[in-house]
Amino acid sequence: MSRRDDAAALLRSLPVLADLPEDEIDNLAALSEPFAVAPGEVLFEEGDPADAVFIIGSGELESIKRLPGDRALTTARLGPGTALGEMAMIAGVPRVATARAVEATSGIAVEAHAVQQLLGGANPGARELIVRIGQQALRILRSVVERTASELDQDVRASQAMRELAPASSEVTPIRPGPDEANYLSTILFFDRFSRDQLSELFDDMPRLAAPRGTELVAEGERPDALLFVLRGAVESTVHHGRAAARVRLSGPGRIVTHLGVLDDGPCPYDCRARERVVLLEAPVERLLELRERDDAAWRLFRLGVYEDAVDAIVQADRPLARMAAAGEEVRA
Amino acid sequence: MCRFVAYLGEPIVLDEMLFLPDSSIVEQSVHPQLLSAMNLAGFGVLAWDAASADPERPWTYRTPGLPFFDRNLRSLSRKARATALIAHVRGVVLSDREVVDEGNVHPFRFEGVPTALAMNGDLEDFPRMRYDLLGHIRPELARQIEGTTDSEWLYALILSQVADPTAPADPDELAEATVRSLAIVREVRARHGLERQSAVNLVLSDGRCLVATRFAYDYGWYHEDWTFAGRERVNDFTTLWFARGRGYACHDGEWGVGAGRPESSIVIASEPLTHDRSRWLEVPEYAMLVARPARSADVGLATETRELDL
Repeated sequence: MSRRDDAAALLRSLPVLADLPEDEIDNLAALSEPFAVAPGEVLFEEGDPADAVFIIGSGELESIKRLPGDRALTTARLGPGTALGEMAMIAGVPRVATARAVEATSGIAVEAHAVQQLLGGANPGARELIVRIGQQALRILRSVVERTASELDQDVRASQAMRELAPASSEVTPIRPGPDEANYLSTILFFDRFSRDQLSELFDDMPRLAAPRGTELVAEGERPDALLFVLRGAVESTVHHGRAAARVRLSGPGRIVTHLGVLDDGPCPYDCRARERVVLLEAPVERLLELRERDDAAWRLFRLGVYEDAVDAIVQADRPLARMAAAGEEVRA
Repeated sequence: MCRFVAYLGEPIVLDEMLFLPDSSIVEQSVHPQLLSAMNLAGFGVLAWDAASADPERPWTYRTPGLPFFDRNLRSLSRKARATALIAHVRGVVLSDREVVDEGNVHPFRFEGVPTALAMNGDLEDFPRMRYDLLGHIRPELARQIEGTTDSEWLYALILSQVADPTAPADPDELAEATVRSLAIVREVRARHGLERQSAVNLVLSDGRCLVATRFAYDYGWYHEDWTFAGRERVNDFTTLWFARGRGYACHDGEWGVGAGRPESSIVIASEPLTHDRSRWLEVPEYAMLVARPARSADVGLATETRELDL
């Protein structure tokens, strides 16, 4: 078999690429290069540009976040069939961790621009690919959040005191969008990617909600039935373990609050509370299903934005773990 | 928006903090990593050297000029040593109401007061609030206010919540005074109907302890005329980072805290002093960092993070 055939076979073995047409797999294989790293060798460093997606054929890599004072947090061990760097690529952020070989490891590297070209195309396989990358981001987000909760009782020094409950009068009330809302939306994260027509078409009929500071919006363990977008103010998502608690995300304007519990299969693993008085946009699941059926350019932008925000949520959710690791000894995966 | 850096720990030469890191505070004055633009309005540094004459008293260098082109600062920083410092680059909004002069350059330290303060933030419509704060400020401190900044008023307000501002700072008392002052400002804002986002990242030190806040009122309620670039949207909660470790030195070509224990040095900065941010940690939003000499060891620092739930 040629090197290109080997690469194609490896690409085809990845669950995220399983539905891609043969010619797309062949295109990607043609744009791939083999890589090999010896035990202890670094494949890429945290902070490097995410210019390639690496797919492990054999061996094992560990994913490491550096910390002050030469300490480190091992966030994952990655074996054959795992892809690295695809989420940083879709979110346009640098590498979030260093990849170092635990044992002799080899596989293929596909240049990011080749994958991006594929994602920009209209074939069904590419559309499925981005959904799968997004689902992988959600799985990682859930695992980081759950790991943070489980570490809390091991190192209460880094966790925060549990908050007082919101006053009983706190409630969520529907409000009308202001006359200049479209101007405002076009200046904030997530919404700034849409044209005025797309903003109107996607969001005009979605409810706006207002809530005072301290209002509980989603309880831990709940299954919310809508994505909540912050338009003004801020929402904090907090995990609890016994008496300890840690904020895993502070969501300001243009951020999404309820990826977990709406876009994946489990319950919401944290509670979501208005940290400031807040205005939210509510995107009900049934409306998201309608948009998915339409599968037009606006929906594809919407979906990509949701996944980008999930990657940002992962980066934020990593922070309490990093602080705990910096305060104590190395935290191993 | 301003930038600051504060240090407490083993002796350093100022150059190692102000100029040598690849994103030092002076470099940030022209190329900030986490801001889209900086309208420079002065630079100040205040440093304590435990081995100097009169070690309780810091020396001060303040100029309304630009640090990047300041040969005197460069020359001085190669020789001067410090066990604690606060350095600040002042950035202002483009408005003819801004007063750019030495009196408005941070850090602020009143005569006879060991504690100094610098701020990275901006209180919305401060002229409307100013005289409401006066009732909470001791007259002898109010008389020492020389400039027009919200920061100097906050400094006087915080000192006024301390039993004896002329005494060496007790870190717990200073932290509590800061929390009380932030609560007073919240009440005054409410009284005037001020509801737009206002960042208050503060750092205070008397050369023996550090207290720093990463805080904002009404986060997420942007000013209507706030036209802001991508980096401000991503970093819309004004940033604050820190690194603590054993000493501070150049490791493999990169400046930072060292490995090992006990931890004896801490750096707190508006943004990391190195392009590689992986050896820095973000101070959580709505939080306060308090660093002081450890009680249980001959050397070393104790650092704690407190939630600012107000």
